[in-house]
Amino acid sequence: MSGARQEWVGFSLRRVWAIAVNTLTESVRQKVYLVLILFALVLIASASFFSQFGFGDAGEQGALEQLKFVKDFCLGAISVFGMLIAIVGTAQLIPNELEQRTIYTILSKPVRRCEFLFGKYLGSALLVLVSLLVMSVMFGAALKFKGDNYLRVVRETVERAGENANLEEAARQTERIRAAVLDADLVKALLLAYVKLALLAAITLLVSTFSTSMVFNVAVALLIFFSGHLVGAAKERWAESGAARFLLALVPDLSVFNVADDVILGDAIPWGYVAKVMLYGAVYLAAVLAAAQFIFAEREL
Amino acid sequence: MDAIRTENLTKKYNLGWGRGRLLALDRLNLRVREGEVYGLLGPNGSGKSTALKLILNLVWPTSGAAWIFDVPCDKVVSRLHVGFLPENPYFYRYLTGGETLEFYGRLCGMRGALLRRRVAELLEMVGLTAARDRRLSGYSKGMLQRIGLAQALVHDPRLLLLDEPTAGVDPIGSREIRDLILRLKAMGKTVILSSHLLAQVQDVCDRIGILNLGRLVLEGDVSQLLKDQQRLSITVQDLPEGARGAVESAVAAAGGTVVSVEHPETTLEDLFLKALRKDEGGARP
Amino acid sequence: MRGILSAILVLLLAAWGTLPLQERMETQRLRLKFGGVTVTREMRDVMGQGLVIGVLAGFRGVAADFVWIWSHSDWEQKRWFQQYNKMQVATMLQPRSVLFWDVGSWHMAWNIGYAERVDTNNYTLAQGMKRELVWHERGRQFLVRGIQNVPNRYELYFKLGWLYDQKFKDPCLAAEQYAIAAGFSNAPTFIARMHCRKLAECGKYAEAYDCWKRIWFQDHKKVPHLWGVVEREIRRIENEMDIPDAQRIFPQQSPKPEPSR
Repeated sequence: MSGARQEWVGFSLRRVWAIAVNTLTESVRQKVYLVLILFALVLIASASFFSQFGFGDAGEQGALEQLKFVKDFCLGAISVFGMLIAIVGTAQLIPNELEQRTIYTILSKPVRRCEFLFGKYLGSALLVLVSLLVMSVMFGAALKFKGDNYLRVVRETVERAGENANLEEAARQTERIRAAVLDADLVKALLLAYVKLALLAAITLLVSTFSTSMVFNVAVALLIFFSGHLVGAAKERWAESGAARFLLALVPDLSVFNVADDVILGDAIPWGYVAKVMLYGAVYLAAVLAAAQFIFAEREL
Repeated sequence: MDAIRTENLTKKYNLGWGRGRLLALDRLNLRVREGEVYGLLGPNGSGKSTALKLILNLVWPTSGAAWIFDVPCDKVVSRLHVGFLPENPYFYRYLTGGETLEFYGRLCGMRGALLRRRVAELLEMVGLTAARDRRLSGYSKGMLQRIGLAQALVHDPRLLLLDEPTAGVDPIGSREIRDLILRLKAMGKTVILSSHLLAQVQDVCDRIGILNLGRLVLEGDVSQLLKDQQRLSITVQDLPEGARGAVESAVAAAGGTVVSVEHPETTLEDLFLKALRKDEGGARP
Repeated sequence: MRGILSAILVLLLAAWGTLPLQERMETQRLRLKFGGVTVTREMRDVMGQGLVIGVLAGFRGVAADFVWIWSHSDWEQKRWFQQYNKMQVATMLQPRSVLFWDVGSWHMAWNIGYAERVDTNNYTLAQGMKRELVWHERGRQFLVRGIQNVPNRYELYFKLGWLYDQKFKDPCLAAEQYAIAAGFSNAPTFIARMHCRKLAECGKYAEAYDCWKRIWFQDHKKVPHLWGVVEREIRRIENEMDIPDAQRIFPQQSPKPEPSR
């Protein structure tokens, strides 16, 4: 009796998915991950309870100031924790498979190397996605909580003033606070942040195909992370020389994914820009995964 | 049909700059018939694991070739009918036994009710049904080996490659694994197991091959090889003490030599198992 | 070996293949004024190494907020120049944050200025008043720079007008700024009223009258002005300028006309 079917031998998305879900399950159940994500959530939630830092004169100016701080801080935290999860989570995938010998049990079945590699990557990308979603929900809650507090203050001011209430002013303040909280462009910022993290995870995977030291993998990935941010600045300084631009283009320019600051300052991000950035990310991602597969396919186990 | 056939299978490892190459396997010519249990023996570093990895296309030969059921080993489809248990596996620590087998089943294309049934069957076969929902981090070494066997069997392969299946396992677990192998043989499967625990291999294998420094130095039927054709062993019961002398003289008169006269020994393993069985009343959890 | 070469090749292809895309992204970023800032040595001295790394890692907003909040502790300890420097750095990190320019200039021109004037421990009254004027000027320059960086928001023009009015006591300059501020579609309506009022204070009665009339002749239902105040001001100007009854909006003899439309 055999439950196997003859269509095994082609490239199977189902196998890729099985490996991805397996990877995700293993990662999520690790204590380190749980501690990390819990810490992140507590940190993000605490943002809404910060007492008045800054010059917060009460009223609209103070409210907007505080909301800016909350958004900057929370998006920053999401970025940092997302990066940790993306890099550290991915760096250990292949080394662990080798150490636990599970890679032999998988590749000794009719599973292609590329199915294995892409499955591992997909699992990592899903881990980052889930983490990002969870953190974003907490961020949204913290922001709304803070915003609602300020709206309540505006309402109470109006009630206290009774007949002398400046309704026009109150309406305007309410409008501004609401706009600061319900900024749809925050979603775009998170979307691009995710694409950046997915790219970082792929780069980490690429490094791990030729190095089994987790420390090395993490270190190189962090190095590329920082370089990617400096590329943007470097391009401005040395924009003239064609050769220099050529070389700089090798490192992915990660600063294009950072629109959070601009969103928080009130700028709208056009979908055209978002599309360009996602295309850039997708192309680089595909190239990095292909490179990883080229190296992994030749790796003796 | 030959389950495995290798022709001059050779593997040389590069040791790095200027340090030459290590000859891990030297022109191995191996034929394993379908339905037999073949033992690949040899000291550490003799090339046993290398041979298995070459057959499974986990490493690539420097020269020579190998076939599984007449399909060349570099094709993915050659692994359709092979199950592999690697040496010292740890598996995924955070999955339960049942989840692990379900994962491997999914890799082999199974789903739904069919998969669940197969997983239950396998757990029953290796005696791990009670530990189905326990995470593998809580499994003993023997249990890990058994889960390993189960995952190798998940797609009901015709051929099994077992790398040190009883290493680090206690005698009871060892015995159970060996019983399982015999059952698999009775089901018509081919088993190749590599080990350096010689006594354990002796009971199970039909044929053995001995590797040393990458070369196959001896191969043949176990029973044939182990028989010492020169000597005859006669086990006697109820012989009175005095009659011993008469028997020895009879042997000398016929032209033979009495080499030794002593009480036959049971093996330590049998003694151990009998003692435990008596203590536990025969049942093992 | 073939694998590594293929890997390098595909990465090179991706890097150079996306060059045109990168160019397009860059031009768009420049147009939208997103992105990069170079950290000068002065900024680094004020910020410290840790925050510089934060900026390099792309956390400009958080770093700017940090510096801003940090300047708050300088404020509490009356270290005016440290506070001033930090506020400068915050605006250098995020030059398009209206908040920093706005509140920063307020601190300089109002709070610090006043604090120095009444700081009798360190200065005589005359010295204190002179120092206050210097801080007024600092606040003004801060706002002017702010407007250069964020020319498309009403808040800074309004604050500059307010500064001219309150601290420089110059209603004419104030009126100019209020005019620009009122021109933004999302500006609160009281700014327009303040513009008219300052014109009158500046002595330009004719322009003030036109200003008020322009307000009055908008759709009263659509535009939320304090129409009672507008009416009162128009009446006052008409009296001041002695406009003949026939040309008045609110003639003294006949009953109040209905507002047009």
